[in-house]
Amino acid sequence: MALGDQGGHGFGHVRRGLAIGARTASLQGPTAAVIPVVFAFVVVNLGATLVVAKRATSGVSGRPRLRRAEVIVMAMAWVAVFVVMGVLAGAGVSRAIVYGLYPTTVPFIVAGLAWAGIMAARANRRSCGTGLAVAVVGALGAFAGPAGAWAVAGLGLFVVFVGNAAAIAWRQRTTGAR
Amino acid sequence: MTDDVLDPLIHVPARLRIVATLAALEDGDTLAFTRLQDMIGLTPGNLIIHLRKLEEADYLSSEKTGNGAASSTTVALTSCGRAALDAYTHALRDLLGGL
Repeated sequence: MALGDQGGHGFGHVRRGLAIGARTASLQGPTAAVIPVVFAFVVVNLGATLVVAKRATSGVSGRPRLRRAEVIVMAMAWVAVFVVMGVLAGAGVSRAIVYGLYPTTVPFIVAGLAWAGIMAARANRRSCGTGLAVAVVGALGAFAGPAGAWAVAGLGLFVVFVGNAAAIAWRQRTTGAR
Repeated sequence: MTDDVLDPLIHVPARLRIVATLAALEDGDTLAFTRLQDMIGLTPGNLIIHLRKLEEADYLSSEKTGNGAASSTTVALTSCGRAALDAYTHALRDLLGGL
């Protein structure tokens, strides 16, 4: 009985500790140790994507996928997003917003809308829909809080890009080509 | 019966692989001859013969750039070739639909 009570207290402490830890993380944003891990993951991911894309498109040539104006629009959108992020950090906005909520919401909203606009101008409905879906993921993350926004971004982007790949594969199956 | 429904030019296995490979390209893109050869696994001479037959039927276009060792040849499916592949796949599906 006494042992059971102690066990119950022990679990209670653990639960409280986890709850406080989660609350602290969501209030303060990611720790300094987490940021290099995320950064390294992004770099590895980008490197792997470039290697695979290069191998897949070896020997393929043709017109560029994006026009110069479109590249400039996308680049300016990305740069602006991170300039504003730096300004917010410099202005003393809480770490939870600058490093927790902002990176997983605003870039997706801005880049998603920019991409959707470019693709709408090209009358490419599927790619326009993908851009809008990315923007929606960013917007949903804004309602999930600093910690939840990362989960929403991870799961949301996974669903969007797997859905996009499935749509391409489905179109290729039904049309017999491309 | 098969020859009436299925385009005999595409129906040959090697040419079907060539056309299907080139159909995966976006409109306006071309594929290097050497890459196509790697993907299909044919000898250069054999590949050239098949490509020539497809080009004569206006199913694909080829372009050679440069001279000597620096030259390179690229190939792409024409709109006519893409339409022929679409017709071929539909005919094949109809044919196998009852199985």
